[in-house]
Amino acid sequence: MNRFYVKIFFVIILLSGFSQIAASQCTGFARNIARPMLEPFRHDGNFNATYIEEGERAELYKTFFRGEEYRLVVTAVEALPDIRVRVFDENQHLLFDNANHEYTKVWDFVAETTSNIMVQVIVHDLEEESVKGGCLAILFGVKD
Amino acid sequence: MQFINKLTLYLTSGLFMLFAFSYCTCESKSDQSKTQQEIVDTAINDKQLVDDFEKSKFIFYSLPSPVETAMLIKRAGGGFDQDLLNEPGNASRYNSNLKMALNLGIYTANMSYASLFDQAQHTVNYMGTCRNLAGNLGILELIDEETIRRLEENMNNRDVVIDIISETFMNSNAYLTEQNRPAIAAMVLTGGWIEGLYIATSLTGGDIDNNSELVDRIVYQKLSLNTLLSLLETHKSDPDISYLIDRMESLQEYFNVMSIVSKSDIEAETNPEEKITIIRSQSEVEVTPEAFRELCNKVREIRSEFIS
Repeated sequence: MNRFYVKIFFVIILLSGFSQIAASQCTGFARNIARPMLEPFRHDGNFNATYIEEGERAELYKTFFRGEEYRLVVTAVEALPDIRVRVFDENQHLLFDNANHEYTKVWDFVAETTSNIMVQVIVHDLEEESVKGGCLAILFGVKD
Repeated sequence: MQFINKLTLYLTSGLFMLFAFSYCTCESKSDQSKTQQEIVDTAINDKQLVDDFEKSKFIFYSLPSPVETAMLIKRAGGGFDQDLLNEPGNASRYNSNLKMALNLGIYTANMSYASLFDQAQHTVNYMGTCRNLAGNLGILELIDEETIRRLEENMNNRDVVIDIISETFMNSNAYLTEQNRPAIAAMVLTGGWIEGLYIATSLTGGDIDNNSELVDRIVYQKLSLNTLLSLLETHKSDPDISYLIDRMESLQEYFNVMSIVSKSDIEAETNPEEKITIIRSQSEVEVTPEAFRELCNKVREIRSEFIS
């Protein structure tokens, strides 16, 4: 019985180590790859990055303030296929879809009104045998 | 062979737990299901999209950060008032994880506010205070000697200073996420948010006629508060977070007597050449002087509790 618990403990340690390494890699990806893409906008300082796989999606909720100009960067490691980015208002009206703009990773928004928005990110599923995964970062910059 | 069997057992158990963890992550977002369904309804012809809804998803709640809030205050015509800041000396009295995390956010907001108004010495002092608190929270790597040195060398270069602060704030969230301590990260964000609101409301003196632009920005924080509460709800099993939900819901009552009236739908105008989308609609806030004054008092009460 004790050996069973030892095994479980071993698995937990292994998994926790794995998730920590993955999280650490995503921090580096967000800091070194995604953050510079915000220039010349000023990064707001929020950290939104995760390990993600094909077919998975992410949502980010944020308030845009009137009179501000924002830069949105959604980027992932090269191993992942195209990332679709759509921005909705709080009534689920589509405001922007990067599928209409060659799946661009960078886009600017001018807020002439204060409103809540939702950024929806979908990693395309290539439906191949091996599922690809990697880091994804969603960052915002504010124009100074 | 026995080793392979054991390895298989470990890996199978591991994968099962990983799956269970991922599943729980998705399940914890069930309050979003209504939103999902509504979006599905509006795009029912997009089969790819419908399929995607069946898969895992990750949720991020992005609050106005201390840097963004300081920029909003400055652009709205707010000034610098040193008396509004939490004294660095108070840091020694914060012994619980809750108080240390809240005040790491509060001091980061103070540092951002000071830096936006070119208060170099205050900025360096607050960076040192944040470093101590981060060390006590077990994220010593957040602010190293190199960061302090860079800050001191660039004290008069606001762009570099704000860049360092923004990176420090990002790192605090990132390191806590790496350490699988998202509830602590949420406490830091809450501290930063309430401090920004405290500075803004204090600058109006509770008078709705003092700075209409700033008053407008404050009332619209009602929207951010909803985002903050959604973030906190995802960690509500933590007793400290439960306490913060209670405090933020009590604040929400004061915001709820104020109305944001939409007079038109939100419209988006995209310019592909400039890679820019303009978002516009007509809305206005309805708030009485008394309701605004009471909101300011409530913010001050909560903030006093956090820094005590």
